[in-house]
Amino acid sequence: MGVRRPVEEVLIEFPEVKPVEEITEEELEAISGNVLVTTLNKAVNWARKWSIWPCTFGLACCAIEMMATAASHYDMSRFGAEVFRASPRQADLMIVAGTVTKKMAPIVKKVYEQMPEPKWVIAMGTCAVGGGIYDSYAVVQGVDKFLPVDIYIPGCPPRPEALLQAILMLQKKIEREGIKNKF
Amino acid sequence: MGIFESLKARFGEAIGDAREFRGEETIYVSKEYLKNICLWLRDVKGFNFLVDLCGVDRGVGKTDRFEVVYLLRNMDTREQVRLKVRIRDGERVDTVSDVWPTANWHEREVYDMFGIEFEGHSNLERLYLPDDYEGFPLRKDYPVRGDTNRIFYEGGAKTKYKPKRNDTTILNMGPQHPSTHGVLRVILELEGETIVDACPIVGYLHRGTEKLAEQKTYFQVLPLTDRLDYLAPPSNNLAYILAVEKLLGIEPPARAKYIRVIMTELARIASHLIWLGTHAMDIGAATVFLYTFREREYIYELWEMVAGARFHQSYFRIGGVKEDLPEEFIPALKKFVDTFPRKIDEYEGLLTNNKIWRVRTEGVAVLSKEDAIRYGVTGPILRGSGVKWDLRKAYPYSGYEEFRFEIPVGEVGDTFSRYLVRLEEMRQSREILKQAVEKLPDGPIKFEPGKYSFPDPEEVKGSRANIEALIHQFKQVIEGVKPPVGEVYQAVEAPKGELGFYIVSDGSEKPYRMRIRSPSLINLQALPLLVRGHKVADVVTAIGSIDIVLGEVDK
Repeated sequence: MGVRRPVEEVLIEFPEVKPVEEITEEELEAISGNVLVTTLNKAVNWARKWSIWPCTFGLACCAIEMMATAASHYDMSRFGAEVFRASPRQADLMIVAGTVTKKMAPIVKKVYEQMPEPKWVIAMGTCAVGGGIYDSYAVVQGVDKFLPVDIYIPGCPPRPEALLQAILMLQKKIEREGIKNKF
Repeated sequence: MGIFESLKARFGEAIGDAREFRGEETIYVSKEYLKNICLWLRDVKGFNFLVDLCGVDRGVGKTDRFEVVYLLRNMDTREQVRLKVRIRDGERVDTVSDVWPTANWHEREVYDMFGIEFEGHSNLERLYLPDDYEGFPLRKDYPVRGDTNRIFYEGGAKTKYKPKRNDTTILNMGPQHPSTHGVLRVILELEGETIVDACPIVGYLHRGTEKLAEQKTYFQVLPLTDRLDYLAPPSNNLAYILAVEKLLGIEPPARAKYIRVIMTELARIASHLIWLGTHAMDIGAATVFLYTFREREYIYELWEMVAGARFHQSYFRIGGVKEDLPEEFIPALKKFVDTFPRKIDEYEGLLTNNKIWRVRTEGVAVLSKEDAIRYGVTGPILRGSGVKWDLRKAYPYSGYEEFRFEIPVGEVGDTFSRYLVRLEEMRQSREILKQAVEKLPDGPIKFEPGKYSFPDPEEVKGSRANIEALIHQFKQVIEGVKPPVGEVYQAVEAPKGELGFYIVSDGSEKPYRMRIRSPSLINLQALPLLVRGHKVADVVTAIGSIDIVLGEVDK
């Protein structure tokens, strides 16, 4: 048990809101009865979808395109998803960028388990989607064999635009989610 | 007197017969005398460089089922010789890792893939596959898909390391780590912050390229090669295509050669750009990354114009290239050639005289000339250690003898030397590009299309359609080319070092065995040598300065 610090009284002063002069009397009357209504679901999802933090986790060729997406030309930060975290404990999104081999599979799973909820997975590239051209003894035929995948991106490797589209699709998906299940 | 005669005179009965194919000499030697022969060749004949060591399965039921193949090189006279030892299933071969330390990982790989054991090897364990894996995949009776029911091998996640001392700390780095450039894992033994020993563990991206290649026709193998060194796909394409062309005994037209040079030199620049960006970011200079990616995007656009793909082009064909250059390419390339020197000055302005950069790189991860050769290191690392060796000059290929360029050489062999060498290489590549644009000849881009590669689509279904082209198309689709029985080794100077393909043909439409001599793997083997005695923060400097790419390390 931690020791509780005594809380000092904090006084927060709000600036006085002055009425906007441009609004006419009639308009004021028209909107005076309105209340801004939303659900907690929507508010939380709105906040979540604009700050998806991906985990720095490149596996193979696709990781280079993932880097290109994050770099200046494509600039992933336009979509609020540029903060690549080296520690999975600070990340929301795992972009499985590349071939998952059988030797790597337990580690991919471990990294996923280290990520706190809510978390999402994008399978980037044909290898992560379904093994791709590597139908061999060493390669797991798709990361969805052991992880729940939210978005699949085909391509070998997918272009940065495709990854950006996947981020946008994921944002849409997050909008529809119930926060009861993902907390 | 040739190597064979002098070997025969010295060792007599221990030397079997010799074969020559496409100017490459192969000598069969007996397994009992192998080590003596190797020592003699190294010390008396000056074969100081072990290029490659690999295994070949000759087929189930053959009396001498396996072959172990050694490719040796004398770096002064540029002679090369291939030694072969034939053994039965279950027989052991003497290790040569004490003759050439570079053989250590090669032999582990042969053990991993074929189950051939080496007598006297210091640490004969699996190199790529997890420890709990069963079977040896490159044996001909092993199925391509292996055990399809099992996807988890815990051997990958467990630490297996015997500490050198008992008062040290063990630190695991990777395979999920931002500065290992992929899925490399290094186990560090530390005394305080000082590194006592380092042990790289590879294989987390082992995709079975060599086994897959045996299932595909010669042309179908090409896309697999793109994905080896994925920072410079044209270099891999070139090495593979040149090997197949050597096997077939054909030569592409001059224009195709020039186009190939343009593509591979762009690849060298692109690869070095990503090296510079990530290497600087590892050390703490994040701005360079954004600068280098700007130029890399431009190169991507150039590649896209030519091949239609940003990344994995698979643009070269057996006997030439797929299509001619588009009109807008040459002006765009000229613009790149004109502006690029200023960009390199920009990077240099950020780094070369930056005090932090100097402190972090000077005197860090030093590799001596002798060690570099003993460990089989190639590419900018070898040159950074002061060895003037470049395959483009030593064994010119694809018309490189027609270009003027310098081989930059470092003096100290530390990270800073390698940094300077790579920057100068980018400038030299730009020189080559400039000459290639000026001298680009006109003419055909394929050698006998139809016979060695797909015929012109216009002749198959377009305005010039004819039955012969249709037959060629059909033949190309169902079987492709059929080289004669034989074996070749062809190497190119890839951005990371010597990338070689050793292909054994049995006369069929598929390669019987394709071996990739990947530079990153062999360069990585020198990592413990580079970091011993340094501080733990210098490990990322060393890894960045070796410039590994895991697709190639793990194959």
